[in-house]
Amino acid sequence: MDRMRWLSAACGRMKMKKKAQFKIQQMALMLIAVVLFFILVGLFWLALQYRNLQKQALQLEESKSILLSEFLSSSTEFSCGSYCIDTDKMMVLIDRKVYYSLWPVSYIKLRKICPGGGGECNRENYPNCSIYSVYEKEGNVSRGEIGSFVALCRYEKIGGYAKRVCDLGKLGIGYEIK
Amino acid sequence: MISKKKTRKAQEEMVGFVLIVVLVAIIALIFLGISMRKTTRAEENKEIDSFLASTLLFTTNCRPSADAVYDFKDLIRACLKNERCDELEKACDVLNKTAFNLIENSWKISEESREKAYIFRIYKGEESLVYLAEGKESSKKQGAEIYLPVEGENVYLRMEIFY
Repeated sequence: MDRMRWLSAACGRMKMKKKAQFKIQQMALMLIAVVLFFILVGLFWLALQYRNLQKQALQLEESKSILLSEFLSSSTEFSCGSYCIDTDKMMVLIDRKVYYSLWPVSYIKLRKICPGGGGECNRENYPNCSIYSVYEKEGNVSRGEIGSFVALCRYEKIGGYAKRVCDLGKLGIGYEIK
Repeated sequence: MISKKKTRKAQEEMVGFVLIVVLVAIIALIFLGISMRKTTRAEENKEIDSFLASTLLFTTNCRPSADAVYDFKDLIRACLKNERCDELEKACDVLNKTAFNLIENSWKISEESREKAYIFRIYKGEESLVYLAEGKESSKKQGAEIYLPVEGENVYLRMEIFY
């Protein structure tokens, strides 16, 4: 009789032990799942942050170029008003290397868009040309370009009077992509 | 009795789970709604703004006399007054052609390029002087608007580019 009671008590203990083990396993699995979930979320967040960091670096380079394009189109050395570049002044500046240290960009180019046609500008073919290479840094390969439209103006003699003639152009500022 | 208690507990857990799922779904929907609303709004674009501003200075083919050359700004004024550039062409026709030429040369609008479509308008109140459009419009767009005071009234130049 005692043996029977002992056996049933042992059986009950075994059952409880099994249930407790099952609960522990359940909890462990749950903990692993939660940890894995957080690791995945963390990895996703890190990937996003890394992508954002690259984007931010690119944006910084872009904004630097935008600032420079605004500075160039409004500085008295080139400007003839808002969004207006005096190409006569620009021609004088093309071979002036003394300004190079002021420009922290890859290149500065002015392209005449409308009317089109013509090649690189020099003193012989001006104003029947379309590209003004103001500055080009040596040894750069990887570049992006930011640009803003500008009016390229000069003075011409029309009907005996000096009249301002403006073409449409684009000021291209090149920046390095790291 | 024990079985009833167990069923109730299970039901409560299920209700809790459903509540969490519903809550997460609502939050996701709110975020989705905000991001969708962001894409449909036309953002201001500096490049388009610079295009409109420099267009105003562009010297056009409109030469009403030997010593007079009209820039785009003058051409808008002439169009508003219904003037002519010469015997053959009205100022408004030249304005339309010039605007089209400038856009065609400045923006590469096509299905393959980044810029898929555009709308360009010059208008005064309800009156539209120029309306040019090309390509298939999409929800992602950027634009700019500038105004030009003409005889006490504002003439607006607006351009929207669809990406």
